[in-house]
Amino acid sequence: MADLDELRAFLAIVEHGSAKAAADATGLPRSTLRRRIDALEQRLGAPLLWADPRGTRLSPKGRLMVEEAQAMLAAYASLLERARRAGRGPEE
Amino acid sequence: MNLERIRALVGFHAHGNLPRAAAALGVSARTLRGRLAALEDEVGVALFHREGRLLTLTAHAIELARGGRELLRSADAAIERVVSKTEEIIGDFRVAIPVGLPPPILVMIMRFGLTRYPRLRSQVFPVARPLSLLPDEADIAMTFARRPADGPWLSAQLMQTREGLYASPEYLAREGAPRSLEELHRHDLFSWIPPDQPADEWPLRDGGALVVQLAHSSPDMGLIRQCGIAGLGIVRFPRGEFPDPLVPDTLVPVLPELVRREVPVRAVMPDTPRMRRSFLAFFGNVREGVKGLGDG
Repeated sequence: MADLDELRAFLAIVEHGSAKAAADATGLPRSTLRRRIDALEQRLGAPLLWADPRGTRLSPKGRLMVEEAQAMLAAYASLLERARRAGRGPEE
Repeated sequence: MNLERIRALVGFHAHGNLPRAAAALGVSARTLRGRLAALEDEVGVALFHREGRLLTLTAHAIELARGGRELLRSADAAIERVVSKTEEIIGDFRVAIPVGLPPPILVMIMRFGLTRYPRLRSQVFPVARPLSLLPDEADIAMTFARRPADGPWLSAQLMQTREGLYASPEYLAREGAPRSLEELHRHDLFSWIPPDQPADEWPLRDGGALVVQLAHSSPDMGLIRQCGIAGLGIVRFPRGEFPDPLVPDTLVPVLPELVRREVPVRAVMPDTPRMRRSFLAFFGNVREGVKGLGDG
């Protein structure tokens, strides 16, 4: 079971190119981001990100995970919106 | 946010009270209560009615629990897809279909899914306007609409149907077969309600339209077909070139040289890389299967 905070940390690093840039953008400590990525990689049993001198690169499984993470976070946002609207009855 | 909070709510919804839900989830009641409170903070609406120590779920919470159960399954399926690095379609998909779509098409698609993608599960919703359910209430829509709704959609044509006029031989023997468009007005007329035009404007082969007075209309093309089989009148609906063993009919075309058009059945889904990779192949195979059915 993936944790959504782990998915957000993963996408932030992918989007910003490195853990440092992602930490600056999100305001989260790098150690927190790193811990979340470690947990996600442990679930998958494989690395998602490779570090090289020019920054962070996606592994093949990382590339697949980007699509899945985006879909999962969108589904969660949609679910929250539906839940907030529930029980209000038809709008005029 | 973490999914343990959603799991806590799904557990509470399933078991009805804190102690039983906590036992089922293997956590203390205190931990479970903390997760539910944190979820309530995040959603920003009340998830519980509180009477003393008694907690019951609000409508917001019930909606969240139901959707959350699907979300948890989707999360597991997502990890499994990445771990196995598979192109296989795994998980739950909600499919909106036109109400009254002939069962043989659906049975063929389900048979294909069961044999080719055994870990694919679907929920099928027959509705008047399948596209209107995308993307929140359905993942895929099958539709007779010629153009998908505005948005980033993928679209795959599954098959052609032939929309025309039909009647039972008994009806035509009793009431007489119309020989012109004018004579149609003397008959009881039935029509499905297509997604792209009014039911009482019948498109003609020459590009024009005939405005008629309908006895009955419905988006449920199966109902309209049944009215024709029962000999109630002349019916207009899209007919596939394949047999329906469940409801065999002997309907015969009426004025096919004047009233007829080709109507495609399309699958429409949100344009995401995953859908593009997996489902276009899926529907390509379904299309081949439909052709085989039509040939048979």
